[in-house]
Amino acid sequence: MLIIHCPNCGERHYTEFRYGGDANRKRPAHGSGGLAEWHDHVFVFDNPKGAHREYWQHVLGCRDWLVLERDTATNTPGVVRLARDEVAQR
Amino acid sequence: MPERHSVLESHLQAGGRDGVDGARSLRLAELRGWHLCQLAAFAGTDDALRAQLQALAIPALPQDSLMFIADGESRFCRLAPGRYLWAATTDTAMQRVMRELDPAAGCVTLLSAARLRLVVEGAAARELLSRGIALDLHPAVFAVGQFAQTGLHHIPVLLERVGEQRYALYVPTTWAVSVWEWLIDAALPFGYDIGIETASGL
Repeated sequence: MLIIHCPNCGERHYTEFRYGGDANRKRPAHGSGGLAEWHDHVFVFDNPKGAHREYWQHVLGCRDWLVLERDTATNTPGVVRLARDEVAQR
Repeated sequence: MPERHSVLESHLQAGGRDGVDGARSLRLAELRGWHLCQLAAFAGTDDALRAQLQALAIPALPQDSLMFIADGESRFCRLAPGRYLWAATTDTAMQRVMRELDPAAGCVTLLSAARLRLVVEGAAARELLSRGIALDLHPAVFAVGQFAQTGLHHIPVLLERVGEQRYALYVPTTWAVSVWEWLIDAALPFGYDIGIETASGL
């Protein structure tokens, strides 16, 4: 069972969250890149085994977006931060 | 100001039922006569929002996301960084903040018509809620005055422990009937009474 520690709300069952995709992927800038680049961004995904950084949204809680480190093989959660804090540090 | 009508009006007339042992160990009620708004800062304006509210003689906003803070006829909680819920028995102060708050510091959204406040009370209240909410509601973990934004019946609700055996649910109005029907179904084994309360104090 996956329990996610929301920085705002505390430990919650994963069913309160919505998966939001790979947090390592960078969206191509608007107006840049060709069709193939956009196709790959929208439709082609890695399927890594092991450590993974991913976006989750606490839809049934504070509704904030989080960046969660999760082991995809064991479902073990790691460090979780507010996505807004990650963006602020870029 | 339009008069508020409850979407639960007909459901509240249905009356209670005895549980399997013939007792009624729950009371389900709608709490009326209160107002609600959300205060939200923009990125980097939380301090400015707090300063402006202080200048408007609004009590200090909470710093963490655990407890409701009560101040006279008002109650505040912090939903997320820079986002607060404000419940009160009158909306006079809310309307004043809405008029006078600098829009660069934050915004006020009136939610009085967007939420229903339901009360679940009685010896079986904790067990009833535990059947639908994936939270530890033991008093050592979820104490009186504490709140949690969570889901019930796949619907986002805000749960507050008002007393040892009394909880309040802030439910989106459009989903209130679904939540009410879930509560009634889950309460059948325990037996329940139905009521309407008016908020004299929050």
